[in-house]
Amino acid sequence: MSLHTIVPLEIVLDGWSRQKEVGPFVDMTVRGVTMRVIPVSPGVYKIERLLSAPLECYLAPEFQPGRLVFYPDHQANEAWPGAGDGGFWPLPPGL
Amino acid sequence: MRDYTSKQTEPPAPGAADAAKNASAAETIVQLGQTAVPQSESNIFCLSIIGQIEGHLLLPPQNKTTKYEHVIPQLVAAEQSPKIEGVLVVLNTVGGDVEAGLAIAEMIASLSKPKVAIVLGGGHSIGVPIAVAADYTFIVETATMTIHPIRLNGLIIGVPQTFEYLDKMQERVVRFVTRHSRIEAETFKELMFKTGELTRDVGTTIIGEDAVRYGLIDAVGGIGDALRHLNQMIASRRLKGAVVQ
Repeated sequence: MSLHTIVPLEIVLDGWSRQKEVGPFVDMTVRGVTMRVIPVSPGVYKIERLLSAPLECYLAPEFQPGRLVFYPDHQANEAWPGAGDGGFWPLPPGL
Repeated sequence: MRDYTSKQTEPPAPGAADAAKNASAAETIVQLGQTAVPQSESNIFCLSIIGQIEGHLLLPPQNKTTKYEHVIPQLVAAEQSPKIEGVLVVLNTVGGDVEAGLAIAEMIASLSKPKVAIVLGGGHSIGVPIAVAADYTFIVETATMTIHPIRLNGLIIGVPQTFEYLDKMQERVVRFVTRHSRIEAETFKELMFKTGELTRDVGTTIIGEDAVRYGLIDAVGGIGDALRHLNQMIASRRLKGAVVQ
């Protein structure tokens, strides 16, 4: 890795050893959108990043990193159980 | 524990056509205390390059970062989407990972749609190739760009091979910048290795108008100029398409 930046390296890398405190991350797949999220409260997750998703999800504001998503019945690391029961938010665009 | 019910004072605005949309927005407010920003159908995709450009390593959380694994699919989506006709790149970056920065720059440069970049605040180090990657570039009067050599972090140049490696890395940036702007390689390298300008490094900081004078950036201007130019480019592209058909 080469960093080409005007910020001194000691500032950029400050807190490197505290990185473990971020998370815990959970990977979940909802209708073809696999995202890495941080659970914030039951059923509410904060998107850390999209791991793989339909292209249009990358442009949709509701899938941007940092956004909260609400999947009340979701079991982490399992595919979404049913499409018609109760609904959830957000839906991948076009579905 | 955050209170997600505290912001439900605003009832959804009445309107038959938007009833479903409002209901879903109200539901979101009740459940999450937030709602999506009203979306207008824009034909321009705005990409902001901010903070550190993050590469293969996750940087500590005090850094604001532009994550390339998110930006690259966004650019692919912008290229592929028929709704998007132009890309506006807004830069305020302190630099970052060389590979990731050049990857983003190459992605922007190879888009077939019109793209305009604007440097606000700063476009430093590896932000320079990203700034020049667009078809037409603007810089605001007060923005700065720092041009300085690439360093291998934390290592002392001990063997000639290390120097050669750095020289090659350097050359990639120089070649990209000179290919995508009007600046000469000699001028760019001269700015890069200038001494007495920066306190902690060799190199130069160029401000607004100077960037245009050196040929690095096309014009001094703000967001209005950038959008006007992008819309003109989109219009002329449409016209060209119509002529071909």
